[in-house]
Amino acid sequence: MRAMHGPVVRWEVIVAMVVIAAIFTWGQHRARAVGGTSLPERGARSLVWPVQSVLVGAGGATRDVVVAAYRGRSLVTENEELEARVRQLEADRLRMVSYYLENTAMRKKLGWAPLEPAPSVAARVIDWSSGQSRKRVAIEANRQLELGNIVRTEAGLVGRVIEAQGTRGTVMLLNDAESAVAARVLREDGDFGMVSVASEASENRVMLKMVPHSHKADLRVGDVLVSSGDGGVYPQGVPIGFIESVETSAVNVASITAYIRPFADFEHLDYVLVERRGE
Amino acid sequence: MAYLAYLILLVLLTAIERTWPGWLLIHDQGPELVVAAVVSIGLCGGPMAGCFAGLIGALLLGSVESAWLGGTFFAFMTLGTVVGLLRGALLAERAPMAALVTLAAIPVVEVIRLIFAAPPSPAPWVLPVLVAAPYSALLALPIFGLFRAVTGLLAPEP
Repeated sequence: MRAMHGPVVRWEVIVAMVVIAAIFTWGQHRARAVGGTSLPERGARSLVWPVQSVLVGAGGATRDVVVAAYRGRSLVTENEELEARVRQLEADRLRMVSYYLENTAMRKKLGWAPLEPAPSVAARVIDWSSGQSRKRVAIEANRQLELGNIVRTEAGLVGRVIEAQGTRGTVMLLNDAESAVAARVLREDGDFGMVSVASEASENRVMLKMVPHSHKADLRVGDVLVSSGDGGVYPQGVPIGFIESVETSAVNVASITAYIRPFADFEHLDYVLVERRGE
Repeated sequence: MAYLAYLILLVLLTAIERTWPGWLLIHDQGPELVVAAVVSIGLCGGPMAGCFAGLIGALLLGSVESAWLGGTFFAFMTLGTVVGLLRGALLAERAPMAALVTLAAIPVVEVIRLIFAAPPSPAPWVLPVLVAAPYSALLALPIFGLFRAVTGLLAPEP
């Protein structure tokens, strides 16, 4: 019989909630102005992110069981192929170890500093923001995250942590409209430039572009781009992608743009590596 | 007590919406479960509960999405309050009504959020809304059932 009665409205309570919403909005604007996150947002995330973490884990396990049941037969063949591939990679790895030892010994003889890879921790992606211009993910690592941590995959650079909250944080991806990376071409005397998202990007188009600092830049299709370390936001030498095409402006021949296919697969980010900026 | 249950369910639905499995996406778009929840709570609990659901739903979803909260608060709280006010007068407290209201509410909510935070080009916005509205309306049926059960259990009629 509830539907027959008109609702009893306590407007003072509704007004109080509107005031709370206004205060939260004001707090968010204030926090964003200084590059931070407001307290209500942090509280909301600390409620939702753990649940998301559980759901992502449970979803992965369920998917594994379903895939195993559905593709049991082909998985055996796939497993044999992968074992053969692992043996090949293990042989390659042993060869690389001998090169590494050789390289270390030579650097020592030359008096050069040892070249150590940055230590990194694995993190799981628990949230994907799929706005048109805001490309961000939330990650969960097994150590405290810090603002500015570098996020990458084995293949290449992914982005950096822009909001950290304990072991969880938000990562701004390279294809976010606000992202820019100082980069250089991986060649002797390779040119420098800024890499950002290509506004012309679509499903069938590369996602990033590089605008070189010099109008006489020598950019070639197939060139590999790495972070240059300029500005100190990203460390130098992290692979970004390769040049897929180079365009010169029809109205200004000095304007060169290289379109880049990134090494990291931004569409399938499940696990990433997190490095400290200084490491 | 009913409000605490609403809060817990909204947290759960926000997490489910944000981790919706890839194989259940249609054109890379999942359902908007929080909007369906706000509509359901408004229909089951009235304007105050609807407004509360809008406040909490907008805070949870906006925070996780790193979106601007102002437009989200406005859209969700207005939706919850209006649905609650129309309950019993124009909107029957039934599951098909929850689905219909969700179907209509999603474009309205998205337009309001679009006005508050306009993207560089709004054209690609249309397809996700066209997918999300019926998808969410379909899922509004079980969501409404859940909230009706919770309301009936924790906030019985005097």
